[in-house]
Amino acid sequence: MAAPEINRELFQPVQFDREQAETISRPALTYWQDAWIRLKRNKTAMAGMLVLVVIIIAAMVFPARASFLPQWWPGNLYVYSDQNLQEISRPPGGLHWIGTDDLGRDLWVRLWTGARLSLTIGISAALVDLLIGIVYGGISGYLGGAVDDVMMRIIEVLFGIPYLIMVILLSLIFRPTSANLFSAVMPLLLALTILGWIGVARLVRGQVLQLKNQEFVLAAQVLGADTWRIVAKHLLPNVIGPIIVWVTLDIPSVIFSEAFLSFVGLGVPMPFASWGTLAANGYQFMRIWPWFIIFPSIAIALTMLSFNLFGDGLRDALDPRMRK
Amino acid sequence: MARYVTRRLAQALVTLWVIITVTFLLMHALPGDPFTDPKLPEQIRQNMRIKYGLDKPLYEQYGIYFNNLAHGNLGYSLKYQQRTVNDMIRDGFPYSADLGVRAILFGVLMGVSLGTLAAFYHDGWFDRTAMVIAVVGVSVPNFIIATLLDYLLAAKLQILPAAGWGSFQQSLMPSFSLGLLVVATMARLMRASVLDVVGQDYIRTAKAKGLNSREVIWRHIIRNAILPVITVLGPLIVNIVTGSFVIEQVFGIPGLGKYFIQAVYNNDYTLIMGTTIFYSALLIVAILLVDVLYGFVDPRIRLAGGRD
Repeated sequence: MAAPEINRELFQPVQFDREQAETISRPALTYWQDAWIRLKRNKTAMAGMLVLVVIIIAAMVFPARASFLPQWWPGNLYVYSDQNLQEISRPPGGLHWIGTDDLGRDLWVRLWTGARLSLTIGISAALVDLLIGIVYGGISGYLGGAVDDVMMRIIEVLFGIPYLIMVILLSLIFRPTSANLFSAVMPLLLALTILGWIGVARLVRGQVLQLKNQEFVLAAQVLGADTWRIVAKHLLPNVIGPIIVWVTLDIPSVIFSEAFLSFVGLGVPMPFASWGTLAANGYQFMRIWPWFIIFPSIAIALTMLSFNLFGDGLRDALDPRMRK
Repeated sequence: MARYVTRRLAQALVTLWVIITVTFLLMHALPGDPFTDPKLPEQIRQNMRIKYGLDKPLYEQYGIYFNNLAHGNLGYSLKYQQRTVNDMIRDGFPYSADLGVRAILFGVLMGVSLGTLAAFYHDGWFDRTAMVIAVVGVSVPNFIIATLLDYLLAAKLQILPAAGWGSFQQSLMPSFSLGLLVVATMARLMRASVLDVVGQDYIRTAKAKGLNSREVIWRHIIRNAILPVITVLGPLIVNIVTGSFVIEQVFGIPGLGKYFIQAVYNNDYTLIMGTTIFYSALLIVAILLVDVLYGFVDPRIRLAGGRD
């Protein structure tokens, strides 16, 4: 069988239109638009975000007094520290949506007051960590050389210190007093942040080290940009993605540490409620009054789960390598 | 390799020294001393301070403490008179170690198998279930898992003993709740690692030269995939140890973690210092071992030397 003959007539030049080659086939998206589109496609991450929004709103509204709402609104009926000795350990139902505790305090209001505390501690500790970490890591990475060397040796030493053991020790020194909420929370916040910034400092330092030698930084320098402008306009926007992811994943771990401390009795002192203290109290009476423990447990688990799912999704969405 | 080990060793020693010093200073920065009981006559309080060496200047106390420490002597408990901290560690630690080893073993075996299978059935129902378990395991705090298990299996269904330590049944719930985080972390990492290895050229080569799939899976995929997973063992051991504080409390296990928390309640300074230093030394050695072991297991590091 003869091979098919190949000749010129079988081929045809491709039409090449210079005009068309220059047209942009899809809309230009900024980094954030692109990330948002990818985040929206990730159903578990969106579910996590939704749950978080619901939890935050619930924490804001439920314990609040709202005179325009009917009498049965929890915030209108109870305050987290109100004891009603006539209604000790009521099971869920009636005006006490999830029952009362062993001192007759309404658990629904306590749960969401606790949410305020746990979330506030989680978010503010993560932000403090972030601030220290950015400054430390930024300086270390940007200056480089001997300064970087010394700063990194310090970090390596601190990194070996077991976090929770140190937090327990520190919570002993800064033992919270129950005088007011501020003096009850500040020591805890201090203990939780004193070693918490190490992770983000390493992250920022690595990113800055990697970025500062790239051409666009050199170009900016050549064009006469000062250090401040380079850091603010060129370095920060490039590291902001990983940093945001780090914060979303740091918040649940701080919430865990706070709950852990409160659970073993070293967290916020008693009249105040945090999810950890509620769980600790619930654990004590678990066998007789199981509703004490169930609701704070669900709240902690659900919040941490949502933060983790959202953070994982955010990591994928903000990673430019995932862009298609 | 030798340089890397020396550097890590030096680093570990400095870390330990920092911990000892910080703990010492923190304990002495506490307002008052353990003998502030107002019922105590001044003379007796003075005698107590002299007995425990609290009347000496700080640097001298530090020197004495360090010297004792170098001889392995952690001093007397302030709360339980006549008992040394060494005794209490010797009593409590075996339980904690037993629990910790069980939790780690369970976590590593379960996590590695889950992760590997999930990667082999990538995007299938098994993969999805395993990853749901992993996310839940990472997210739900160990003390929540422990209390809920205790409530469900011991109090309600009464199929497992609620507390205590000794029998196999008693070890099930504590080891599970402590090891679940290890399972979850390991499974996620192992899955990613296996997926990465499966795509490598040498796997195709191994298949192309006619190795049967069992050979490929065990010798080429799992052996290579497990290497990066080993590195997280260090942080996970830290987690197991700190987790044991609360797990021992929930399940009434007479381990060291329980002593530690009680010492913090009781302001038992010497016991707090002793256990903190013991735990820190233990963890630093464990992490050092994991790092060095990793260097030895991975020929790329063993032969090239150093890892930066």
